[in-house]
Amino acid sequence: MSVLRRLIPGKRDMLGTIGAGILLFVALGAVLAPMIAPYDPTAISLLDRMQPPMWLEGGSLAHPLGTDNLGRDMLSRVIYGSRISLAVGVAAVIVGAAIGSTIGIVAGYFGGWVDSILSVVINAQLSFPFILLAIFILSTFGGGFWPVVLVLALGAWVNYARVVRGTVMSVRTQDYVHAAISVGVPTLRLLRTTVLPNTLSPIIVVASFSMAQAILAEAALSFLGVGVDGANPSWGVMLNDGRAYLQTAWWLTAMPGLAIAITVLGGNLCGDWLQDRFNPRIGN
Amino acid sequence: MTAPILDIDDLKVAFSQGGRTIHAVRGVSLTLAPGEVVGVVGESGSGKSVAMMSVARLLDEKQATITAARLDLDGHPILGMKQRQLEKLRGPTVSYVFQDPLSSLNPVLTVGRQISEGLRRHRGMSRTEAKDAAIELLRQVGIPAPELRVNQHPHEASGGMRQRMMIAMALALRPKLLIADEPTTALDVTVQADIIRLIQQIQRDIGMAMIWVTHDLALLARVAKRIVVMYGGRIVEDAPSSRLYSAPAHPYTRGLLDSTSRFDVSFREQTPIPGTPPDPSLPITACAFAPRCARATDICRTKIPTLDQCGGGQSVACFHPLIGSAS
Amino acid sequence: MTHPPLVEARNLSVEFHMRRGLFSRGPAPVVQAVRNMNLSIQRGETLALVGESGCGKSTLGRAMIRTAPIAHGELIFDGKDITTLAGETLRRARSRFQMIFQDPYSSLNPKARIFDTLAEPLRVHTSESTAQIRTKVSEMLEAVGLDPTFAARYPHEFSGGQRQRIAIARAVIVQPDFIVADEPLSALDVSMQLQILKLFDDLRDRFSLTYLFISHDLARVFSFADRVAVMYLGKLVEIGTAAEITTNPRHPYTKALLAAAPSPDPTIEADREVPMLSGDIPSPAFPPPGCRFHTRCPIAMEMCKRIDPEMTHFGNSHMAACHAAAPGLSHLNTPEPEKDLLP
Repeated sequence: MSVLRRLIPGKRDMLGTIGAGILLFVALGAVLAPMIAPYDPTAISLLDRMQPPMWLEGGSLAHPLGTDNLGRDMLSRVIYGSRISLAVGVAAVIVGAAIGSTIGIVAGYFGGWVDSILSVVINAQLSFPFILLAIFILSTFGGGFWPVVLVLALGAWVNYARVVRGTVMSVRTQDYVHAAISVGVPTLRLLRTTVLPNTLSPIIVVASFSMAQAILAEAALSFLGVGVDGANPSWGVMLNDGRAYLQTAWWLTAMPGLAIAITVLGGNLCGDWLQDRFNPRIGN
Repeated sequence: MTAPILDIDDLKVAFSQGGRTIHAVRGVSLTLAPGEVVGVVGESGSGKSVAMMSVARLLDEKQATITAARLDLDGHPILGMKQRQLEKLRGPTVSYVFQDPLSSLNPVLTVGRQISEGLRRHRGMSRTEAKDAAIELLRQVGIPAPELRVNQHPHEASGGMRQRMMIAMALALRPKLLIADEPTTALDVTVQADIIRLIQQIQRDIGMAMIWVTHDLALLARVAKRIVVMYGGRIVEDAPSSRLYSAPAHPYTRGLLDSTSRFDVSFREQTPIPGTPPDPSLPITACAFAPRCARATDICRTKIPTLDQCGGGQSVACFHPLIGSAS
Repeated sequence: MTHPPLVEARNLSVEFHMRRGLFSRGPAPVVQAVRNMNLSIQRGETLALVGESGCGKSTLGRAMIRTAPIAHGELIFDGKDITTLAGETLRRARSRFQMIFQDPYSSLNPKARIFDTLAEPLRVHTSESTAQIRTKVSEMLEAVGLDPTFAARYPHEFSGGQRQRIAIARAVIVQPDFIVADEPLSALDVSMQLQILKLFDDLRDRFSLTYLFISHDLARVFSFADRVAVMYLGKLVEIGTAAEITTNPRHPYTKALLAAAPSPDPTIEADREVPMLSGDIPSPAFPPPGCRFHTRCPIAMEMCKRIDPEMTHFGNSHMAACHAAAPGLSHLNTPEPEKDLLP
């Protein structure tokens, strides 16, 4: 008998704060990269190549996380790499959320055949191995920042559409929606002013999770060589670059890998916490 | 004098909610003799349900802090008891019927299974014995074709039927105390009368004590011999119903009586209680009803009135009661 | 009655198509939530519509403001047939009829400030400036007994009674002619119910409103209404002036509703006989044949199981649909003595 639902226990709050803290930390690093990175991440210095992190023998304080095969400073590269990874993540989230939420609202609100068609599309998309699709598209049409963002958004929109559709289906049965209709609010306006604000919480939760997913997926794609390429490498590109030196210089892959893991963990902790926060609580 | 079935002294319940503290119950004392039927009346937020749920420690104690000078159920101190000991009391000693049977019944189990569970656990009945007992209970609460109903799930029954099932479940172990929290509020008026009659009849048959929690004083006139009125987490009046309806002592009770719906008075002649109930997150340093009370004076806004006898078995917490002298 | 009614339902039916079970054959069952309803409300009148859950009173209320689908029949509003009004014309017409819902906790958008909730109807129906809207919202909040500064707050900051005042303000702010109030008191505490009822009474005079006041609590609304209509399983069983219905009810269901209401007086309650209706209300999806009330009726006769009674006049616009109550048919119930054959 759940009569008075429990509130969020303190532990969850703490984990959520840690998650948000991680994301904030990574975001700050990305924004302030030119100020905090000790070196130019693309500056090649063949004399300093393959230096191990400072706590290993042969490492030095000059390059705390060591250097790569071209003598570029790993710390600087990880800091700059966050720019690409985060930018891809954020852009994929925005594009995916915009597409997915719109479709979800339309399907959930109007129901009927619109909903049936969209449900088929959603299920088809979900049953298709996303990474194969992404590789196919990117290798056919070429990689780059925007193509990767679009492909990731293509993979993520279903998550928004599914959650938003479900939420809208319950929101539209609420009396405040009936009230708005009987007051004579036009449908589009109703969706914007009444339905959307009440669907925002689950959208934010999904965004938080799918941000983490997008960063992971971008890394995977870049690792496979179909991701973002350019002067400033993303963490995924760094993973790919370091692959050949796994035996001799493991830090070339471990450092960007760790960065990815920590960021993804932050996004997931944050998402979990938000989900708990936004869950409908029974008032007294 | 027989030992009371329920003995509550200075019960306080507070919830912590998003950094705020909600003082749901702010010091309630209530003693109930075996077989006694008491009505507890109050508005939503008066603390009536929370106070009654504390009796079997049904509140989620991760949020709720329950304190009391004494909280004895059938002679057992409830506070500080282990969950396992509490479970032995829930069912045979105290049992509940809630407003919404659908959320109180388990949707995936058959009705028979839910009724017989307690019988098997507490009485050690076999599966078939318990099922036969469940059928008999369903028959007693007026469910037609109980042999069929016993195998059905809650959603297959109407609201009235579900409430009867809930009652059958609550009464399966013939509890010494039944707490019915708005048991008829979700029901239609013509079904309501039927359920009230049913609960009353069973109460008399078993001779159990009963607490009937509601916001509707009119309903209690039929069922309770003694009525306790709660406001702002406290008891403001405690009186035999023969006195309470004809000569209420507390202005709030008077207001509630004046607000009930009735056929013999037009709404134009009725006076509503003005204002809104107190905010349970604020501390109370005076009479909680003073802001809505026409009789309030300076003392009402500075001191908390205590619940004192004012004759005829009637107690009132008011500096200016409507009858007698409560000095 | 010389004036044409403000709202009139003629043979109005509302049907819902239920989902067919996964493995069941045959067409999906159709629920007639409202069946062949004839009901008219005069301008300035308050009609209380009472009945229990599942009787279709809310559905009828929604149909009368065109938010429930009308399957058959006509709906006339202020002399115009609005049964098939659709799209933009219907949307614009909506400012003339409004609805107030039962649960003030779900009828206010939790994410909108009170100001926006009240301003929305004005924004979509008028071209008033923000300043004008501001003034109107303040005035309306005062009219429903709330502080105008509440406009900046969100619904969760208010009690049930205050929320219901806000919901009422939203309905009245577009100055409608007709308001359907769907159980607006039943989610409130007893003391709040009377407060809000008095507010409805006050607004009725101030804004010359016509109410369809839906309730399950006849005792609460009879003195507030001019006329009372009693519904059972999608059909009207009795209608008449509030005084007629409460003092001289004709239909056994109306009598049961009147008798079921408890009185706040232990001495009356001690010996009051509550006539019991057997069983629960049947499902509206499978209403009983003949008179829909016969399965619970204490005076049901053989013919009640077969023939659905027609509405019969009892004078003074008092009508009821019952074989036993119909004056001409009473001989079917109790055999009357042979009439004199003398001229």
